[in-house]
Amino acid sequence: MNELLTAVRAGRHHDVPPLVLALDRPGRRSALTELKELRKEVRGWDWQRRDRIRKALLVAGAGCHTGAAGCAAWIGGRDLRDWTRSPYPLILASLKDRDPAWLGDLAHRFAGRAALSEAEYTFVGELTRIARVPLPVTDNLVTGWTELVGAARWRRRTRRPLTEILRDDPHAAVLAPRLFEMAELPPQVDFYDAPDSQDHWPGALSALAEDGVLDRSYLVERCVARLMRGGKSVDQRFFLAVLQRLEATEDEEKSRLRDWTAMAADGIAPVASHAQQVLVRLDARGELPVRELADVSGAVLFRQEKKLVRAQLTLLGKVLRRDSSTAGELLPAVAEAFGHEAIDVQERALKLVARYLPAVVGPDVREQLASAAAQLGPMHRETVTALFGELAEGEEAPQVYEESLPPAPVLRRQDPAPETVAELVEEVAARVKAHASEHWIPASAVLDTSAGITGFERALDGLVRLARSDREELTGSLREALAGVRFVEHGLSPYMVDPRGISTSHGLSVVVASLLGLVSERDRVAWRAKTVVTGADACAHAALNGVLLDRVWEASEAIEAGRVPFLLATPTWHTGAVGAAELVERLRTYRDLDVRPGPADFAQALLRVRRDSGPERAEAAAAAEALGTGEGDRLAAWIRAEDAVAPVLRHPATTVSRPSGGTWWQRTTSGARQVLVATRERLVVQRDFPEAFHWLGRAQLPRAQECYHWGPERSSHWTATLPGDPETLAAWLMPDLLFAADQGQRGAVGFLPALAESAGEIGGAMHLALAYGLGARHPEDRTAAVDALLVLAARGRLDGAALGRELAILVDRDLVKVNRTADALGTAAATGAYRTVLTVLAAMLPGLLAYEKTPRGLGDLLSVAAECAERCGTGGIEPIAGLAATAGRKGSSQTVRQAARLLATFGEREEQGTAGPESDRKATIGDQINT
Amino acid sequence: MTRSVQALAYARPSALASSQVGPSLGLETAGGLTPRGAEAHPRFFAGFLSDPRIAARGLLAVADVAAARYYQRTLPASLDPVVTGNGDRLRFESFSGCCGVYARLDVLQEGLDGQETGHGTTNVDVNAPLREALSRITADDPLHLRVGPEELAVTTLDGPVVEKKVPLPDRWLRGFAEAQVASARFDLRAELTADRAVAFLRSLPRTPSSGNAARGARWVVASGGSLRPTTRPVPGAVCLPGPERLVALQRVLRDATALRVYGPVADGAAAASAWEVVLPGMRLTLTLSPDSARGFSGEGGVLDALATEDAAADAELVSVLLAWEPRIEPASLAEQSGLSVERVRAALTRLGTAGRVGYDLADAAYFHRELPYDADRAERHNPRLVAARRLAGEGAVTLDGSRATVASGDRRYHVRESGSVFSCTCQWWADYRGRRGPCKHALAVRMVRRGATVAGGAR
Repeated sequence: MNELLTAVRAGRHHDVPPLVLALDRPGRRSALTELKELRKEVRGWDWQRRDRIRKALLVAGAGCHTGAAGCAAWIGGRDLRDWTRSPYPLILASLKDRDPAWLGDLAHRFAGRAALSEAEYTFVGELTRIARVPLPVTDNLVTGWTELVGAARWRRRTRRPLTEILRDDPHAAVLAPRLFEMAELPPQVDFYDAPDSQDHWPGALSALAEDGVLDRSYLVERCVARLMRGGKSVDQRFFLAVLQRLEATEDEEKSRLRDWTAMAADGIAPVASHAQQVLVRLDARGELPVRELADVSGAVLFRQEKKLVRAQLTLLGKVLRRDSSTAGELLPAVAEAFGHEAIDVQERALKLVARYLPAVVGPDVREQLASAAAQLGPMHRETVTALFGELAEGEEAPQVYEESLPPAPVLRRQDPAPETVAELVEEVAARVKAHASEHWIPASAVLDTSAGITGFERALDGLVRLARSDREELTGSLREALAGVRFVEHGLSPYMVDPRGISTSHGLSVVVASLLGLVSERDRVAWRAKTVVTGADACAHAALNGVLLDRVWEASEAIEAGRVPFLLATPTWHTGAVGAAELVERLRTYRDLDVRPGPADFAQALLRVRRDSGPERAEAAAAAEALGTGEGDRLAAWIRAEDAVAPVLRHPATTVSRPSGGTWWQRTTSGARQVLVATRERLVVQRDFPEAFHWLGRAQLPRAQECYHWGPERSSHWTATLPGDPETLAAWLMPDLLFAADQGQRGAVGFLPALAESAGEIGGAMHLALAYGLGARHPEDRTAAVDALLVLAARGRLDGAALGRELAILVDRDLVKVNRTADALGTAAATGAYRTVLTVLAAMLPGLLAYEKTPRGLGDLLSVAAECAERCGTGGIEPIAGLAATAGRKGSSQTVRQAARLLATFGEREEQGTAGPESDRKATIGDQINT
Repeated sequence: MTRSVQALAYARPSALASSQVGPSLGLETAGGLTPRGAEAHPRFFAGFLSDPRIAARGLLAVADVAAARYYQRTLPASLDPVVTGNGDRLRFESFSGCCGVYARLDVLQEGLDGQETGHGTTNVDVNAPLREALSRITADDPLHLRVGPEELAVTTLDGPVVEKKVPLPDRWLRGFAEAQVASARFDLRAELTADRAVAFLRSLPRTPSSGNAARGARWVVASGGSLRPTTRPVPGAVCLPGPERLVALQRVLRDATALRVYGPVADGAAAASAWEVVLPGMRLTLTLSPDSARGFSGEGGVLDALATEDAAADAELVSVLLAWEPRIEPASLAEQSGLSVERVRAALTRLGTAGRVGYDLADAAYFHRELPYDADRAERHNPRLVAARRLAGEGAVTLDGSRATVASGDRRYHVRESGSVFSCTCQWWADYRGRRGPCKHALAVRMVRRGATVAGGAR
C-alpha cells in the first residue's frame, strides 16, 4: 500500500496499475483515503510539482475506487484532467480485475459527466466493448466522438474525406442522430469551410442518409424542428445545409406548411429565405392557401431584410395577378411594407395596392389600406391622394417647425476639499485603490463624472491642506487605509511616474507616497526631471501628463516643507476652470501669509483662469494688479492678453484632391491625406512658465505619429489643463481623432463632449475634430461626437456649414467613410435637430455629388438629408449643387431615389417664390444663434 | 458557490394539442402555493386567449430569457418560468441563468378574453416541442389556454412522468428576488410610439460587442419622441448596459403598441433599467442589471434592510394579509395591520427579498406572488451578510461616535456614517462607492450599532 503511495508521489504512473491490482479490497479502500488526502494537498502545490504526479494520482484513485459512481467522479475531476497524453489505457489496466457489469456501469456514469473529448470517447468505447453493452449516447459523448472523427482525417498519410470516415465508423448510426437533439452543436461540426469541402459535416451526414445508415425522414423532421426553434446562427446554418442537401419531398413540404411560415417569419435571414423559396414552390403547386399566405406575408414584410421583403412582394404580385379576388385578403398584408425603411420597397407595395385596389370589395379593407398609406412619406403623397383621395388633409396642418436641442449644459461648482481626515482618507483610498487593482476597472468607476478631474483635484487640495494641519493623523490613517496597495508596500514603480503611462490616480499615488516617506530624495529628483518631455516622445499626451506630474511633485515637495496652505489651481467649476476673482483671493491669502506660490501650481492656475470678455475681465485684471505682488502682475497681464494659450492655425486643405492627387497609397505616403492643424508658439509660456509647461508654448506642427497612452477615459486632466482653450486642445489631440476615423482606434473621441462644454472660443479646429468624430469607426465614438455636436448647437456655437465643408474634405481624403457619417448625422437628426443637421449636409453634399463614381453610402446620407428637409423645410438653405444632376441620373439606386426625394423638398420652396438668397441666409444664421 | 437542486415533477409535459374546441395549449404545473396551501399541480386558468399569436410569442420571449445566459454563454440546465395567478391576470416570470435579466409577461384580463384566473404561484413546464408548437402559431385562430391539470383528468399514473432536476444556485435565487426590489425604485423615463420603438430596438446590436473598451455602460435619453444614445449620464438618462440583452423583445416587436422605459435617477454610475413593451392585452417587461457581467444578486440593495431584524416582524405580519392581490396598496395594508405606511413599505421590501412579492412598474405597485423556491434561505446566506455577522460576532467592530473601525484579518478599515450612509476604506467601497450596497464592514458596523442601541450602548 505504501508502495502505491510512494509511486504516486514519485509520479511513476506506469508503475501504478500492477500496484493497485496487487491490493485487496480493504487495502484499496484505505489507500483511497490516503489518495484523497493527497489530492487535497496537491491542490495547494505549484503547477510544476502538481503536474508531475497528476497522472499517477488519477490512475491510482480510479483503480482504488470500489464503487462505479465514485470512480466516475474521480476520473472526471477537473483538477486531475490536465494532461497531454491520455492516461486512460493505464486506468483500463488498473481496472482489469473488475467484472464487465461494473465497467458498463462506469461507462454510463462517466459518459454523463461534462467535458468529454476524443480521449474520453475512446475510453468509454473501450469500457463498453469489454462490458458488451451499447454505447451510452449522451451529448458529451457525442462531442467527444466528433473530435475523434475530426482528428481521424489527419491520421493517415493522405487526408480522408469525412464521408469515408463516418461510413467506416460503426457507431456513426447511433451517435450522429444525437447531433440533431443537442442544445448546441459541438464546435467540430460547426467548423467547416466550404460546402463542397470534403470535411463538410452536412454533406457527409446527408451522404449517410442516402446510404440508408441514417433515417432520412427523421433528419428532415429534426432539421425543420431545429430551424423553427432557433438558436445560434452557426447551428442554424448547419441544419439548413443538411436540410437543403436532403431536399424535402413535395409531400414533406406540403405537410409542414406551418413550419415554413414560422421560419419565414422568424428565422435568421438564410433560413427565412429558404422557407420563402419553399412557399413559392408550394404556391406554384397550388398548395399555399391564401389565408396562410396573408399571415406569413404580414410577418415577412415586417422584416428588415430588403431581399426577403422584395421576394415576398414578388410572390404576392404573382398570386394577385393570377386571382385578383384575393386582393381583399392579401392587400392588408401588402400594406405592412409601407412601414419599411427603403423607399423602393414602399413604392413597390404601393404599386401593388394601386393595381389591385379596384378588386377590393369591402369598405373596411379600403379604409384599413387608406390609413396604412397615410403613414407614407411626402414622396408618395401624390399617388396616395390619387388612390384614396385627400384623407390625410386634417392631420397635415402646416406646423411651424421647431428645432429641439438638449438643454445647454450649465457650469457646476466643485465641492470644496474634504475637511476631515476621515473623509479625505476615504476619498484618497477610493481613488488610489480603484485603479490599484489594475485587473478590472469597473465601467461604472471609469465613466463616473465625479471620478473625473474635479474629484482628483479635490483630493489633491485636501492632501495639501490637511497635511499642514493634521499631518500625524493623516499619515497614520493613510497608512492603515492603504495597507496592501502595491506602491505602499513596495514603493512607486517607474511606470507610475512616467508621463507616458499615468492617469490621475497615479498623481495621487505620487503625493501619498511622498507623504508616507516612500520616495527617496534621489528618486524624487530623477523622476521630477522626467516630467519635461522633449524630443521624439513629445506628443501632446505626454506633455499634458507631464504638466500634471510636475504639479503633483511640486505639491509633494510643498507638503514636505509645510510651505503652502492650499493649492492655487484647484478648479472652481466642473470643467476645471478657475474664477478670476477667486484666484485673486487665493493669491491675496498667500500674500498675507507671506507664502510664495509654487511655480507649477501658479502656471496651471493661469492656464485655468477664466478670461471672460467684457467688463469682468478688466475688473479681474485690476484686482490682480492691486495685489502688488509679482504673481498679481503676471495674472493681470495674462488676463489682459487676447490670445488663446496657443493660437491655432487654419489647415490648408481645401481643394479637392481626388482623383488628381494619385492613388490612395500615393496620397497616404506623401501625407496628402492628413488633415491636421498647427499651433503657433506662445513666448510667455516658454519664458515665464516652468520647464514642464514649455511644450505647450512651442509651435506645434501637425504630425500624425502613433504613441501609446491612456485614452481620455482615464485622462480627464487633459481637458482640465486648458479648460478655456478647446481649440488648442482639439488641435493637439487631432491625431487621435484621425486614427479613430482612419484606423479604427477605439475611445479617442471621448474628450470631445467636454471640449464642447468648455467656455472658450470654438473655431476651425473644433469643427474639424467634430468632423473626424462623426466619422469614427466605432459607434460609441460617434455617439460621443453626436453629444458634442448637440452641445455646440445648443450653445449656439456650431457653424453647420463649416462642419459640412470639413466633412467633405475628410471624405475626399478617404479619412472618413460616408456611411459612418450618415449614421452619426442620422442619430443627431432623429433627436429633433433636423435643421442643424440639414445645414451641415447642405454644405457637405456638393463635394460628394461632384464625384464621377458615387461614394459608398451616399444614398444613406441623402436619405438623412431628405428626412431632415421633409421635417424642417428647406427655407434659407441654398439649393445643393449637383443634386439635380444626380436625381436626374438613370437607374433606381438608393442614391438616385433619395436625391430625387431631397430635390423635391427644394422644388416646393421655389414654387413658393424665391426671396433673395441673401435675406434667407441671414435668417438662418439668426435662427441658429437663437436656437 | 452554495447551491441546491430544484426538483420539479410535472404530471405530463406541456403541449399544444387539438381538442373539440380547436387547438388547446396545456401548460403543466408543478409545486407551488395557492390560498389553500401547497399543491402539487395547482390549476389557475382555463379559457380562451384574446390574441393567441401575440401571447405565444410573449411566452417564447419569457422562455428565451429563462434559457439564456448573456454573460459567459454556456448552456447548463435552466429553470422553468414561474406563473402567478393574481385573480385578474396571469404573470409569467423568468430569470436568466446569468442573473442579469428578469422577464415578465403580464397577460391582463383583456388578453384573457375577460375571464378570471385562480390565485397562487407555480412552475410551468416549457419544453422543446412546446417551443416549436408555439413558434408555429402564426395566425390568430382561437386558442384555448389551460394552466394546470385538466379539471376532470385524474392522474391515474402512480407518479409524475416528467421530472426535472435543475441546480438552483443561491445567487440566482437572490438575484431573482432582488430584481424586484431594484425596480421598485424606478420611474418612467420615456415612452415611445410603436414605430419609434421598432426603429430603436432594431438599431441595437444583437451580439455583445467585442473587446474590453466597448464594454460598460451606455446611456439613452429621451429626445424628439425617440431615444438618443449618449456617452454621458445626462439628467433623465437611462442606462442601457449590454443592449444585446434586449433581444428577447424582438419576438413581440411587430405587435408592440408602445415601449416604456423605466430607470432610477441617473447619478453617473451604471444602473439597472426596465424595458416594457405594451402589447394588446399584455405587457412584456425586461429588467436589465447594471452590467452584463454583474448579476442582480450582488447589487446588495437590500442588505441594509436585512442586516437588522427591525422589519422582520412587520414582514411576518404583512405577509399574513397578502392574498395574491394584483396590486398591493400599502395604505390599506397599513390600515389592516395597524402599522404605519413606511413600516409597511419596509416590510414589503423585506418580503421582496424573500421572493414573496414582485413589482409591477406599469401599476407602480407590488403584487403578491410566492416564488416556489426557498428564497429566504438564499438571502440569509448572502456572503456579505454572513461575513458581516462574523465580524460583528467576533467583536471586530470598535465604535467611536459617527466613526468606527473594523479589524478584518491584519487590516483595519475605517467606516464613517453620515446621515444613514456608510462609507469605508476597503476595496469594495473604492470600486463601487456604495452603489452596490454597503460593504461587509459597513454592515457589521450597522449590526453592532443597532445591537448597541438596543442593549443601551453596552459595547
